[in-house]
Amino acid sequence: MKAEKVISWVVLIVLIAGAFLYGAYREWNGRSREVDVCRAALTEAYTARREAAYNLLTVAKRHLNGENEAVLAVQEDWRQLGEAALSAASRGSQALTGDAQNLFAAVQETESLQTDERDKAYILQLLPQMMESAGIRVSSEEAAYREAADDYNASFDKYFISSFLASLFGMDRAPGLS
Amino acid sequence: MKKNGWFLLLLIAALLLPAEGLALVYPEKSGYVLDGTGLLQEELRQDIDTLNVRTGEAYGGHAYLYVTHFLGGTSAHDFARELFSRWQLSENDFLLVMVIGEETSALKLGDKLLSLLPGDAGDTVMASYFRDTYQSRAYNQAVADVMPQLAQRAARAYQKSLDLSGLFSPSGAVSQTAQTGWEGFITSGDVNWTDYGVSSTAARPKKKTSGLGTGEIVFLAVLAYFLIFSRKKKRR
Repeated sequence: MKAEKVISWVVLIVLIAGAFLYGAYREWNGRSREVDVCRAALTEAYTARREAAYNLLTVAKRHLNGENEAVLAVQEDWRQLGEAALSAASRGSQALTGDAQNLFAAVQETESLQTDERDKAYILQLLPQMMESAGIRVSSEEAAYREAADDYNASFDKYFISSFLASLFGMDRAPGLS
Repeated sequence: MKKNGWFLLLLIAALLLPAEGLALVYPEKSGYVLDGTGLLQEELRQDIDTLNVRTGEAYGGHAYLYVTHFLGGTSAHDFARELFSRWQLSENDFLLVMVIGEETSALKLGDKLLSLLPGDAGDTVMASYFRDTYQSRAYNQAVADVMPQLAQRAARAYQKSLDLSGLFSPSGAVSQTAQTGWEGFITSGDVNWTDYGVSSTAARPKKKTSGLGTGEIVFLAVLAYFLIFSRKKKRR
């Protein structure tokens, strides 16, 4: 009789603990997935910005020396935008805003551009538009990612049990942007 | 030239950013010619359409052309290969990709066509009828020169004859030099980037997930309690 009672209580406790753990896992998994979705969108936005930088470099190198300071700066931003770490890509994207402006200005000053209607149209119209649009998209995706990552990371600090369970499920904090 | 410049300015002010501004997009197949630059003349497009009717009848293959400004770092050959596959072109078809802003191009032949053509016939045709004209930025002329040559070689490979009469004639005014014909240079795309940036974020649903709530846990506990203790009562 007594043994039956003990077994009943053990089963009850196991059920409640299991439900609690399952619930916690669902919660963490959902939040983590939300961050992943934002991260994927942000990575795609960085890719678009990187492609815009590549296009600018392609045209610029037809009119400027490859060792030109403005070319090298955009090249470095392009390299950073391709890094897997979000903080590096974010740094590259931020630096690109100013560096691209310098490169546009440098190319516009070249004599060869004055006689090249096609590249002039690229440098004055298409590429600045591309660059600006890519920048707007990056800003928008960075804001979305920051919100999701901050929300997710805040859960780690809320309760000790919360972060303990997260580590139990193999969850890490979302990486920050620069 | 000034007139052209003003035209361009007005055009840009009125148009949205081209789709090329997005991360590299493989366009949907739409006819035999897809020109993302607006540089190709209408007459040339019509000639390519007619050419395709004739190649279809002659040997069952088709000639496709894709023109864009930039590929953002992807090589023209890789892009052509991928586009050929995504458009599900047949083993008798060929696809020519022109990347104007990068001054590159690529030709992708269907597998059967590739096996039937001797050696590097595709490259030879490109070298003889395309590259120099393309590099001199006479894009319409380059297309008018190379497309019938490629189609002719393909037909010969299948031992069929191809009628090219009335197509790609010199009177077809395929005159574009490095300095003229840039009026339609920058064309509109389907995507407004500003909207895209907003909608891509807005379209992402905020998933408010929650674990098992207190109510659910209590419900499970009560359920377990009744399951266990109802058996005990029955025995009594």
